[in-house]
Amino acid sequence: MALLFLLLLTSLVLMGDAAQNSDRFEQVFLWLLAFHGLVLVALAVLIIHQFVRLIVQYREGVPGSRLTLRLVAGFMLVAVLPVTVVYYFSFKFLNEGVDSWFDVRVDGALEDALELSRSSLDLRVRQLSRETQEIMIQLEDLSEVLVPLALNDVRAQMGAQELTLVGANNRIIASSTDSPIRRLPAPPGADILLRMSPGQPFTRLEPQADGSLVIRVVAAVGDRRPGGDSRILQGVFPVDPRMSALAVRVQDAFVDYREFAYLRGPIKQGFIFTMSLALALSLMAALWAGLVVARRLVRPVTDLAEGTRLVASGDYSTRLAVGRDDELGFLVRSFNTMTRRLHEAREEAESNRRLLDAERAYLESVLQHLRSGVLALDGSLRLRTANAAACQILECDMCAEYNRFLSEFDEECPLVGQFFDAISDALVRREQEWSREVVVFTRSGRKVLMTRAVWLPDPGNNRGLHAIVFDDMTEFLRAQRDAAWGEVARRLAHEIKNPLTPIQLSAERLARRLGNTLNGTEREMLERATRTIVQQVEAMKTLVNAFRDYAQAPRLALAPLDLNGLLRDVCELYEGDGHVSRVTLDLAPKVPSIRADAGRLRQLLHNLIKNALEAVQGQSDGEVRITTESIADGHGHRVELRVADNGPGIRPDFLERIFEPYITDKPRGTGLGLAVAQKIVEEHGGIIECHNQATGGAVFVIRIPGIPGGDTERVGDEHA
Amino acid sequence: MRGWFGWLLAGLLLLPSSVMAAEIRHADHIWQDDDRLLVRVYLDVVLPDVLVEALANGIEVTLFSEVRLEYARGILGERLVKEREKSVRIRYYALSRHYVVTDPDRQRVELAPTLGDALELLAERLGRVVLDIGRERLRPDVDYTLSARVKLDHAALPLPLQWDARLRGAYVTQLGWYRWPLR
Repeated sequence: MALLFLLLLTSLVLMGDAAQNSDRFEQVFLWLLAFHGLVLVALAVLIIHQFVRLIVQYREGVPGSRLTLRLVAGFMLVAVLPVTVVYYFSFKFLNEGVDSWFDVRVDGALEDALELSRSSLDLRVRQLSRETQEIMIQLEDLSEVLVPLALNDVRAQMGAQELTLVGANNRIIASSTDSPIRRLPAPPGADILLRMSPGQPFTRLEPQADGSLVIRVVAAVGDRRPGGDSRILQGVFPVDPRMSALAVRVQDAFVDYREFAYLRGPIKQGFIFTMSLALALSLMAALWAGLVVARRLVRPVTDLAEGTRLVASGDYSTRLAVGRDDELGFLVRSFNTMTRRLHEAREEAESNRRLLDAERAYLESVLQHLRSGVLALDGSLRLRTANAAACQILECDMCAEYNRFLSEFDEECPLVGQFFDAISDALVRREQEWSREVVVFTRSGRKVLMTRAVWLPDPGNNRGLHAIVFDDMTEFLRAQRDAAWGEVARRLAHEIKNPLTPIQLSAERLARRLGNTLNGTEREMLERATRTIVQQVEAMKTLVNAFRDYAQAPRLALAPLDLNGLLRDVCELYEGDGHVSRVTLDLAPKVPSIRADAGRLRQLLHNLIKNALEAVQGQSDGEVRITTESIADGHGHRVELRVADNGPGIRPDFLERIFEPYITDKPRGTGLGLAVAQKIVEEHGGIIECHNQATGGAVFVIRIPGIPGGDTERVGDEHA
Repeated sequence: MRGWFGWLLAGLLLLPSSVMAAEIRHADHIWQDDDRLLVRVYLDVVLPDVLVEALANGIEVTLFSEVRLEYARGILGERLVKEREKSVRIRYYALSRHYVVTDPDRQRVELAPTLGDALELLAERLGRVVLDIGRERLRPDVDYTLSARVKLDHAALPLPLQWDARLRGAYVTQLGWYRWPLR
């Protein structure tokens, strides 16, 4: 830009210089004019391009365009106003000032002076004209021989520079000059001869090459001698040097003034053109410079606006170029510092968030793999977290139901409702730390949940968190009870069974020894007493043996076993056994073999079938239905055995503890049959459940792991 | 601003120009001796109004006549052998109300009572140009050509008139070349 301005300035100076020098004007004017024209066009194109771009940006709402436009408008105003004022007054001065140089009176005075000079010279011309005519009359009668002599005398007498007498055909008859070195006189030219009129000499004031004036007089007379031709006398007379100088000076002044007056129009045009060119170039250059400067000024602001927008949209990596050392540069540097710190803070926050996510994922993983149920509730008792164990224990898929109130699960998840009812009082009171045993009831019995909870207040706000951990203690408690009963049975077998045989033997000895010594009544009483003792001892032995069986560690002879075949064998025993009720087999066609002790399983089946038959005893439509089914799920292949009856079912208060020893609702039951059944199932790695059917009666469900690939073909349904 | 200047410039440049009406009617030449070739160019000269007005206001006008002797060299163009320029000045002499024609070559001042006479005188003086060239220098196997033209001496005009001439093109007073073969 500076180079362009320098070029412009130089060219304008050259143009001004050329306007003062004719030779330089001839050489450079057209080039300078073309150069200025090109610069003007280039500037106009640049300015139009910049303006169009600016207006487009303004319409599109590009940041900084509005400010740029205002700055450009300001620059334009600042540039145009003073230049226009200066131009206006310069224009006016040129127009009026140059005209004021010319005065009508000066013009008139010069005209008068010139006229005066002419009049003065005319007097001399008329005098010389008259004298020439007189001389012509004197010479007309002289012969050509005498004429040269007379001509010299006359010339000297009149003070002429040259006298020439010309005859016919423009032939010089005689001539006389005042200087021998002067060239030969020439006869009057054709232009003079044409302008001559009879009786009237031709006169003319002639400037010379040296600036002096001479008066040429040409007169014609006829030769009055017989046969004579007409003659022409031409005289050249010098004008008095002083008068000549004065007249020439007046004429030069007059000509100069006229020339100057004539040239004032072009002078003004030239000045105005140069001034207009300089004005146009200056304005265009100022406008363009204004645009460039405005853009440069606004660019940091635009960059800042763009940077701020990027920061607002979350891009903290924005850095602006600092290209200046002023206040705007300071602002840009401050912005860069701010974004750098924001970026660092964001990186740190992101790092912390990733760390937290990892921690959360780790905790989530730990939670999901915990066998204890874990629930997290917020202060308003909305569910925040639930692990898989919690969903499994409470039999509810809560993991996808976060932000729901726990009380809202009541309908689809009854256990959750019961659980919440049991702990809601402590939750509402926000007890700091508490634990309790919560009992919930399911279709298969009750569950005992050992529950511990902590209230974690959030000091930052009014919201806190209940962390609830619970374990399903049902199996544990059952196992504990089973272990206790096993210990009881072992002690009973040990402490009771040993004295029974001596008691029985002693009673039999008493009956044998004393029976022969006593008479009829006493003997009968002894026999009855000893028989009672023996019977009770036998009964006690049976009881003790049953306890022994329950308490003894199993010695299983495991072998692949076809459960369907075993069922058919066992059920054959109940055919024609005097049972009114029917035992129906509904066996699946393909049931995996199981690894089992056939004897123990036979005992299990007897226990269950006998138990079912007792349940339907007395019913005319009593029926015991035995089904098998193959189950394949995530835990592998299993065989499910169901023994169902259509009896009265099991009392609900018994249902929970049906597999515990000594739990029976039969008048003569030992209460060990189902306990032993459960023990046998568990020895085979299976589970046994019992619940009442909706259609009536109870059903025992046993699931035992099958041998992979050990399917057995169905033979056919059998009915006992 | 730009528009105003554009209109001003266009107006100045598009003003009708008055071209000097000059025509070379005929041209001839004759060897004055073995070293000088006299070229005679017969001209009709009529000055444009603006120059007539300038003359009437005391401004001296100078015209050039150019004569060139050259021969053709095929695609290489013309080869200049000799050229000569001759200038003749004309001005109005207010004291005697005559036009003065000055031929610097001849150191001679001639007067004409009217502009027409002066232009005839001017044409006569411009039309007589002597080329100093030895006849023996010319090769007989080459066809030589003589060219002549007349043009106005812009640089001799006062500067303001030069501005005017350049800006308006009002003084385009250069004729095309008139060519004829050298005998």
